[in-house]
Amino acid sequence: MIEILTIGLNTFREAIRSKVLYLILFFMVLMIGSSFFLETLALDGGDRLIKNLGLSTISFFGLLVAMFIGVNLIPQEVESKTIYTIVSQGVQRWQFVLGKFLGLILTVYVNIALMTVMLLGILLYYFATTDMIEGVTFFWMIKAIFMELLAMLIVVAVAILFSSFSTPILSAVMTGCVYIIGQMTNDFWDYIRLQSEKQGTEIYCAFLKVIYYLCPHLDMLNLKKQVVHFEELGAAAASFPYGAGAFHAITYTAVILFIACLAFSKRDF
Amino acid sequence: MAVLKTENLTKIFKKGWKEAKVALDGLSIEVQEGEIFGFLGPNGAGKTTTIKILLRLLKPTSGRAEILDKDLATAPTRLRVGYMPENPYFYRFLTGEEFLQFYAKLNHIPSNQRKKRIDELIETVGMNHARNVRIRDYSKGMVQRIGLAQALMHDPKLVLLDEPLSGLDPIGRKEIRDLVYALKEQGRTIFFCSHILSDVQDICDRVAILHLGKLLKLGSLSELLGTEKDRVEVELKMPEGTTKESLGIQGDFHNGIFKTMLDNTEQANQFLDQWKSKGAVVRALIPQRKSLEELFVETIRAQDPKVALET
Ligand SMILES: Nc1ncnc2c1ncn2[C@@H]1O[C@H](COP(=O)(O)OP(=O)(O)OP(=O)(O)O)[C@@H](O)[C@H]1O
Ligand SMILES: [Mg+2]
Repeated sequence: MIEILTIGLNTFREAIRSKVLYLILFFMVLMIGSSFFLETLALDGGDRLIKNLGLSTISFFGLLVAMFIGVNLIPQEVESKTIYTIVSQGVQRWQFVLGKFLGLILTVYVNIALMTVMLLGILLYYFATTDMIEGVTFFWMIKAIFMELLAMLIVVAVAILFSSFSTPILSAVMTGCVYIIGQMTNDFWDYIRLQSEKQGTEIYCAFLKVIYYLCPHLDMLNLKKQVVHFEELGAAAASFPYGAGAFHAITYTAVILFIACLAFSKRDF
Repeated sequence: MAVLKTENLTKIFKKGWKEAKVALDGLSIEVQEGEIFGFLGPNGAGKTTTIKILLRLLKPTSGRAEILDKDLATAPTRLRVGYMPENPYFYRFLTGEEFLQFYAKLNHIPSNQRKKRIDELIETVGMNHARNVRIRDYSKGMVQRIGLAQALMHDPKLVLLDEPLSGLDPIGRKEIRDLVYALKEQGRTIFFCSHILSDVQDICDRVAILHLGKLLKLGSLSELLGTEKDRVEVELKMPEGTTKESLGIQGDFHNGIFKTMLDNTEQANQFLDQWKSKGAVVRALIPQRKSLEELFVETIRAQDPKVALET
């Protein structure tokens, strides 16, 4: 356990000392900040833009960290030869992989915490200037961000998995693809149904279905629609299946990490 | 007692579909407890590959490679080997001290002993002046030193060093060499990979010479270099009127001074007697022991005449 923790904290330290992280964070902060001005310009008298853009930014931030920092973590350790010394001092390879995961998720969470504070602050300020204090909005935002944290488990684990056996660029591309498909599995399913009604598409549809089942269902963890439209949706919004989403996130992450540990243990250096 | 053993170790790297690269070809060596074992060979000989297989970083194609320490066979692997990789650059975002702290934690060194252990190691490798400098700002030699400290963190009985002297200046080389010797005196076994032979010559008990994955020579330095065939360099001031042709043997002849290399002391005596009687004056007589470098070049040339060696 101490091995996983030590490697995790070291990874966290590496991330927070890297320029890439601050570059990504800078743009995300810029985006959240600009949502305020866009909202005041939009004149729709609501808070949709801030909520929408804010949540998207948080989700997108996790993806960028996974794609630009996460996929490099393991290849870098091979390059710098540190993995050799770590393994030769008795650390198991699976401990190494889990340590990397821990460090990366910690990085993402700490930064999401910062962005959340900023986002809620902006929302509060916006309400104060427009005289529309709405406690229930904050409640929805917190719930949405919490589900987003669960989604990040999946994204980060996927990045670690790809990087445990492939090159950073390929891993980044694959992680991006998984994220995009994962965000729209519902639409993807509709598309498959539509296709399967046509003639001679059996093989194509079977292929799509494999992808559908392999990809994580990130839209099970996406509360954006509920946050923005909770008034209109009413009971439908309140009945969001949190438990199923959380269960999916945790089991999917566990399986992915298991495969990553296995792949990394079998690997030659 | 052997602490490290390879038996018929073979590693073939697959390149694409058909091509294959034989990196190790039936290598069998044994390293005895308490010795400094020089593992020598030109670039691409398979030295690093051997170490990686020993550390289970690579799987051999066939054969076996084992680290077998009787006392430690049951202890966790972490207690067994210290390893310093070739051309490492480590965690560049950490300072030297943070870097060692990381390994101290991985080795379960209790927090109240960590500082003492790290201080000791930093002192040993002479890095006190740079302990709070980030590794990214280290020179190559400094990275090498901190790497050595890392390899010694868990007080291993067997230390594998892959080109530990590369990138060091002459003073640094001497210091690290002395340090390696000190490690031996502390009762550790050292497996020392290098292609810089003069560095190994003075400290190794036994050496193996490897080329293209094959073991060419294995033995103690005196076995390999021999003692009886010692050559002698002689330098004579020749009498007036001597010509290069009249000398009868090869050598440098300038301004009446003749310098040549004779294969053994008998020949040297003969030559000296002959010329002293004619009035020559002996200026110098220097015994020349064959160097490891020459043996290395000879051995590898004999195997593969076309090979280009940097010596
Ligand atoms: N992962 C790999 N894939 C393919 N070939 C490899 C791999 N690793 C090493 N080789 C080949 O195996 C041979 C031996 O390499 P190795 O690194 O063991 O040499 P070395 O003796 O350490 O050389 P050097 O003195 O340059 O460090 C080389 O020809 C190298 O090209
Ligand atoms: Mg090498």
